[in-house]
This record gives sequence, structure tokens and C-alpha cells, in this order.
Amino acid sequence: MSRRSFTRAALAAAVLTLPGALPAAAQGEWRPTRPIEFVVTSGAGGGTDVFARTVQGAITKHNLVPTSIIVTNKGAGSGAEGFVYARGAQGDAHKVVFATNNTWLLPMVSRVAFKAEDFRPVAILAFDEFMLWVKYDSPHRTAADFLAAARSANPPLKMGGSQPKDTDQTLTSLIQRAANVRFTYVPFRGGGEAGTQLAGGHIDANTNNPSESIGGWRGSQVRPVCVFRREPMARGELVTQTQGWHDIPTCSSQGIPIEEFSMPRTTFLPPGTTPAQQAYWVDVMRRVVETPEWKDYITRTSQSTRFTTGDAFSEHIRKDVEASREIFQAEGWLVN
Amino acid sequence: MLTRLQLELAACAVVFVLGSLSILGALEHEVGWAADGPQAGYFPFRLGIILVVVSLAIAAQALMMGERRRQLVLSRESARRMLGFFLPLVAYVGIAQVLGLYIATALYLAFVLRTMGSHPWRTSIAVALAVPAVSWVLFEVWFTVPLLKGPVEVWLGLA
Amino acid sequence: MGNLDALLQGFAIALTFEHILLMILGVLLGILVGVLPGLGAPNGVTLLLPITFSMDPVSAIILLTSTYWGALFGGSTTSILFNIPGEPSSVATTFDGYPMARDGRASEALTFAFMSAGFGALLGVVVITLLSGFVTSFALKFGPAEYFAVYLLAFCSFIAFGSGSPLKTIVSIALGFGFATVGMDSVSGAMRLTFDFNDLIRGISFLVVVIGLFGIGEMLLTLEEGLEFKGADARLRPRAVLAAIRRLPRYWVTMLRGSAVGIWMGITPGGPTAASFMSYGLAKRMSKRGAHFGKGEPEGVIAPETADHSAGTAAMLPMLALGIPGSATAAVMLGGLMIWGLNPGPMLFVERADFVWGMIASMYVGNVVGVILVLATVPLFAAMLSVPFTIIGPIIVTVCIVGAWTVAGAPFDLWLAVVFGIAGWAMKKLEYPIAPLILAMVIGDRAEDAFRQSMIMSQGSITVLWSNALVGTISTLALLLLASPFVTAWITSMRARKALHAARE
Repeated sequence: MSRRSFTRAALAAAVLTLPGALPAAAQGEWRPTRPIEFVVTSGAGGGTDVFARTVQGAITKHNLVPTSIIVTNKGAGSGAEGFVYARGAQGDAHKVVFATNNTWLLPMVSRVAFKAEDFRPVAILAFDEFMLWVKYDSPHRTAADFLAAARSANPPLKMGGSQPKDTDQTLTSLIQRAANVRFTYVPFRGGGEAGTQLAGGHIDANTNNPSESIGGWRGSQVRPVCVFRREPMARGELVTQTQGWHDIPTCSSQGIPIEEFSMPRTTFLPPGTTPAQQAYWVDVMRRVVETPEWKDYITRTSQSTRFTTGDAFSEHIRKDVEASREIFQAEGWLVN
Repeated sequence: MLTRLQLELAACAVVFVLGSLSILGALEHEVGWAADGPQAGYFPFRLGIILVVVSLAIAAQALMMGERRRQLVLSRESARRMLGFFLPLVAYVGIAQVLGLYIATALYLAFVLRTMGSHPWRTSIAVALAVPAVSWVLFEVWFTVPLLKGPVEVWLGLA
Repeated sequence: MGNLDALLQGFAIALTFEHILLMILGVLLGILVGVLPGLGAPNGVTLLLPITFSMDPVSAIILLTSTYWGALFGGSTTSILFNIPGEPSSVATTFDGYPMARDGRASEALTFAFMSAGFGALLGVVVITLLSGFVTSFALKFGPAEYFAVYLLAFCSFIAFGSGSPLKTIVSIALGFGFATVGMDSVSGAMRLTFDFNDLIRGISFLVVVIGLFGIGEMLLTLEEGLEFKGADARLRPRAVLAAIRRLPRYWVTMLRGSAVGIWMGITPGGPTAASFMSYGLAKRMSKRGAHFGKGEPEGVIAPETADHSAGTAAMLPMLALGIPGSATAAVMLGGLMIWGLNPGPMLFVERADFVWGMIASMYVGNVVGVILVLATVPLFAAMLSVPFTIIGPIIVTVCIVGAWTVAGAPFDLWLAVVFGIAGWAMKKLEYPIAPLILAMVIGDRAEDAFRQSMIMSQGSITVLWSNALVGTISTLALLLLASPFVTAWITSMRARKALHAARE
């Protein structure tokens, strides 16, 4: 594609997605002139890292941007390192932050030197699902069995997950409130570790993403009992001999009244960037989710693409902050 | 110039301050052992106390050291040599914060080779240019690890 | 035997011209990142990751693992020649490697390091080949309490209050653990000891500390003493190399012990760095020549090197079979597996036997390639050492400073390296031991996490460390090791007293 039609497409995308930003976008198109840095708010090998490197791969393969891209991992402090770094890169649209919902949730529970409003949202590219997992030979066949056992257990059953006060622990407290049970939450260094601990029987359950435990499920070490989704996942290939993701019932149908819980894969620009720069990146990301590399990644990791940008993205953040504030308040985690 | 006692006491002072900071920082959190085990401040608090107490004990030992206390650990001569190395190093790191690593490295090497090594300008400048050039290829091109860059690289369109 | 058949098939996959080329490429690149302080195996592997997207998984993993082996080998070179560890896991190699080099025995030290590392690596692979099923189920037995006991064991086997001031050893340990607590607490999520200072969110990087204490600290010492460069003679004398190889079998006890420690620490998540310290500590205690450690004793090079490499190779098994990243490098490789569409887990051994056994077979060949290539790089370093110190010295300084930057890409870390440089000089002058500080920083973070996780699970009861045979044995062994120097000292003094009595009577 020629550069001219490319920028025109970018402009068109800006017009379509950001009616409010039209005048600014019309003032001047923007495109990168220097090497681009993808700032990853997780360590190398983490979920956000794989996300960013997939996007990098897709962009490079299909020449979606004119300059080179490097990926840097700044995952210390649950990603605070990366956000603080990007916040310091005032007005530099050559840096793109790759994150989850930690952009807006981390400042609520941790004393960090940034706010979600500091960053200019680009897009949510996908959502990762959460499931309730038990050990493969656990006596609890269904979520209802598990809850019944949890209610009568003393000491409480042990629920594992990744970093404290992050998605896993939030979901755990949601389950506690919704189903009126009590767990002991044990924070590990990531879903992978929580998965192995469950396989070894050191904890009783965890709330891993599908991709974090698929190996354990196939190897008959762990087993999902329900998915935190409105309806079961789309029909796909079998994961084990007999079952696929679509065979796992929703948690709300199993007596855990949580309609939906998922984690967005998000991208942001540093503060002080312009709507034109935002429009440019929205357009790039929109192309990324069309590439076969991206679709392959989504299938492999059992996520779902729901490209969300502009007002819808802001609305998602607003709603999530509101809902989370209530939980964090009740748990006494709020610092701001 | 610097006796053993002076250096011992200086080290104790540093350890004492670090220990106190650890205690202060720990007090921002719970420092006890609750139903779910030790809290966030438990270990930093106790480590801080250990550092403070032990630093005082070492200081006391040092004061009772007898003749060894007057032993010279750094002669004026050595101190001059060390400063001759250390001040350019500090300047190097200081300049790197503003102008980036490439230019700071070149300036540092040119200066140190010329003044301390008394190499001819030719050698000094050759080394001062070669090292950043090799670093550029190694880090920016091969490893795609960006080194600290300053306004000059931005102006040249390299960053 | 099923595993041996599978291994033979693995060799058929691994031993193609293309794969051997990839091994050579990976090892060379690894040696390069290994030699540079700050830049390490994780960087090398991360750098190659995008290139592997378009490769088939077997070629990809061969390239990445070979880079890892290369980095492990390369890290020891600078440890021995310049007292600057190129990799975290080669810190313990400096203790005796550098003194050997200073005595003009650099070729010997390097040969011992590379050969014993190769030996450790091969033994590690043999164990994964033969015992893959057993090892996997064993690794699953490790919960937080067991993790903690493993760290405790490593710590207790290294720390000895033998020589020097015990108070100063305590300061060194407490500082190490203290530095490790800076940053986000991964159990409560609280920011600890950061004082709202953004540059401390990352915590204090152990790598930057090592660059400061060893690299810059060593420079300060050298200059203060007004000496010309001490590392000098690294000319690769074929005769010295051959002599060293011939003498190597004499150290079979040390090599076997080191490999055992390494394999243990690779399968349990202790990691290569802690393994090398533990192996050094045990060798020092058990060797007849223990008193000579730290002054240029070959055993002091062999012990950490065998452990380091056997841990590196053994850790690949829990990574593939359980998705446990035994090291930072393994974590990156796990990310790679995801991208290539492979899921770590027991089924990987069944469904993608070609991948698993191709990789294991490549580990045999890759490490042999590694030993040969790394020995070949020695003349290059020898050439470097013949450059006058007034040129090479400042260049080493710039390598250190650049290395400090590459750790996290933070300008603040450059200052940190300088400050720890002064600290390193003062600690040497005042005889504060540096090694305990490093070890405490390496294991402090993980050990505290594991301890607090196990306390959460046991409702705050310390008895969890004796709650089953496995954890109880490790904990007890650790405490025995900690006590053993005191006990030996006590027995010696009792014997002396008895002898005195006997003499009087």
C-alpha cells in the first residue's frame, strides 16, 4: 500500500472512531519518524509480553509502520515501572504502552506516581477469560461441589493466584461475596506458578486464564470447573480427549453469580500526545487484529478479540473503576 | 590521610543510616506477625534493628582496637590516584544523564586516555570514537537494546 | 528403555547441518552477551525471540538454548580475567578464578572452568534423560514451604562465620536481605522502602550491585595500590590447557558434588546462581584444601562452575514438563513456547516428543560445541590483556557503566553502580565479606516470598517447615549445616583441652 493511501486510511479511521477529535486530526496527520518502543508492563515471558511481541511480529511482517520497533520489558512493581517510565516520556508517540487493566487498577491499590488519566487510551485488542480450576483428581466435580466444600472447610480452602490485589485476588473476593464463602488467598508470582502449585496439591483452586493452565489440563494435572462468562466459550477444537473449552459451563449457572469477569489486553500512549497520534495507533492496531498472526495468537491462547477504542474504551475503564472501587473499598485495599 | 579508625567509623555511620531508613520505611507497614504470618514490614523492621545495633557494636570494637586504629588505609598519594580515577568517573555518569551514554563515553575515554594514560591525542581520540561506534553496532543494531541517548542523537535523528 | 530410544530419535532430529549451524550461532552470541556485564542470557534469548517466530519449534529452541549455554560459558571468562562477573551465576567463580589469573594461571583457571562446566552440563542432561518422569513428579512436590527450605539450605551451606569478624558478616547478610526487600512486596502488594522515590520501584538490582562492587570496586583498589593491571597473563598456552585437562579427573569428587548440587537446585527452583554459591560453600567445607579457598584454588573454580551449568541444564526439565521457569532465561523461553504454539506440560512429552527429545539431544551436542568455541575465544581475550592498562582500564569502566544501564534502562542505576563501587572498595579495605551480601540479595526476595506464602497457608505456624518428610529433611539439614562449623570448632577445642589434660597427667 502506498504511503499516501495509508495515511488517508489512518485519517478515515480517526474520523470514524473519534468524531470529537476530528478538528485536531484534520490539522495534521502524524506518522512515526523514529524507532518505536513498545513498553511492556510485565516481565519477559509474561502474558503482556507475549501480547506485545505478537503485535510487534504482526506489524513487522505486514509493514504496518514505517520505522523499526523494539520491545522493552518494564514489569517491576506489577508494571508500575513501565507506567512511570511512559509518563516521563511526555508527548512521545513513539512509545506505546502495553498493559492490562493494571493501568487503572494499580493506582487504586498501590501508592504509585501515575494515574490512569495520565495516559491516552489507544485500544483494547482482546479479552482474556478466567476460569475456576481444581486439581485433576479433586473430589469436587462441579463448582457447586466446590462451594459446598468451601463453606464447611476449616481452615478455609486455599485459593492461589498471581500478584496480590490484582485480577485473581479481585475475582477471589468477588466469589467470596457472591457465594458467601471464605478462602485463604495465596499470592504467587504469576498464573504459571499458581497452576503448578495446584497440580502439586499445595492449594485447592485457582482462577487461571485458559492459556496459563492448558498444558496442565491436557496432562491430567488440573481441570476447569467453570468459566466466568455470560455464556460458554465458542465451540472449538477438543483440548483433551473428550472435552474442549466449550464444554465448560459458566460459573453463574453453577451457583457462583458472577456474570462476567475478564481481563482486557490494552494499549496506551504517553501523556501529552495528540489525537492525531492516537488516531494513527488506533488504525495500526485495527489492522493488527486483522492479521493471521494475531488470529493465530487469539486461538492458541483462547482469548477473544473485541476491538474496543474511543468512547467505548473510556466507558469500559469508567465502569470497571466504579465496580472495582466498591470491591477494593470492602477489602480495605484502596489507597487513593 | 585516612586512618583505619576513621574509615571504620564512616562505614558504621553508613550502615547505621541504612538501618534507620529500613526501620522508618518498615513502619509505614504492619511490622508484626499476624494470623497469616509476618506482614510486609516484619523483615525490613528487624533487619533495620540488626543493622543499627551491629553498626554500633562494630564502632565500639573499632574504638577499642588499640594500635591498629592508627593504621593508614589510604595514603595521600593513593588518595590522589583514586580521586584522579573517581572524579572523571563521576563526571562521566553526570554527563551521561544529560548528553547520553555515547557522547559521555567518548568524552570520558578521550579525557582519561590523554591525561591519565598520557597517550597521544591520536590514540585517545581513536579509542574514544571506536568504543561508542562498536557499542552502537552491538547494542542498537544487534541486540536492539537502546542505550541512553541525549539531545544530540535526537537532533541527528538517531533516537 | 523408552527414554533412550526417544533420545536416539532426538539425536536424529538435532544432528542436522542446519541445527548444528544454529548451535554455533547461538553459542557465539551467548558468549558475547555472557561476557558483557549487565547484558546476560535473558537479553540474548529475548533478542532472538522474534527471529524464531518463523522457525519450526525444534530449531527455535535449539537456537535459544544454545545461546543460554554460550552465555553461561562466557560469563566465567570475565569473572576469571577481570574479576567482573559477566553473568550473575558466575559471581562465585571470581572467588578463586581471579586469584588464579593474578598468579599467571589464567589459562589453567579458564580450562578448569570450561571443562568442569561442560561436565556439569552433560551430567545434568543425563539426569533429565534418564529420570524425566521421576523428576517431574518430584518437582511437583514442592510447595512454598519446600521452596523456602531449599533457599534456607543454600544459604546455610554457604554462610560460615569462620574467618573474619562475625559482626561484619552479619552486616553484610542483613544489607543483602535489606536491599532485596526494596520495591513492591509481592505478597501484600505494598511498596516497601521506596520512600515515594520512583527509581526504587524497580528495587535495587542485584546485577547493578555486582557491577559496582566487583567491577568498579576492583578498579578503585587497583588504582589505589598504584599497580599496573593485575589480571595479566591469559595467553592460551596449549601445554597449560592440556595439563589442566589431564589434572581435571583428580577433582572428580568436587565435580560430582557440584553437579549433584546443581541438579538439585535446577530441579527445585533454587536456580543456577544460588547453586553456584551453595556448591562453593560445600566444597570449601568438605575439601581437604578448604583453607586455601579464596587464594586461587582450582577446586574453588570447579565447584561453582559444575553446579552453575548442571543447574542450568537440569532446570529445562521442570520448564518443559511443568512450566516452572527455573531462571530468568527460562521465563523468556516459556514465553517463546507460547508463541510457537506449544503448551508446557506433561503432554508435551507425549504429543511433541520430537520437540522435547530433539531439544534434549541438542543439549548434549550444544554443550560440547560450547566448550570448544569458548576455549577458542580465549586467545582473543589474551590479546585484549596485552593492551596497556591505561587503555583497557578505562574501556572496562565504560563497559561496566554501559552494563549498568542495560540492566533496566534507567539512568539512576549508573549512579547506583558508582556508589556500590565505593562501597566495594571500603568493604575490601575493612574486611567486610562481599559474598554473603550477594547471596542474600539473590535468594532474599524469593525466600521471603516463599516463607510468607507458606505462613499464609499454615495460618502463621512455623511448624509447616517440618510438616512432611520432604520439607522436614531439607529444613533439618539446613540447620545442621548452619550449626556444623560451630560444632566442629567446639569439638576441636574440646579435643585440644583433653589433649592438654592428658599431657598434664
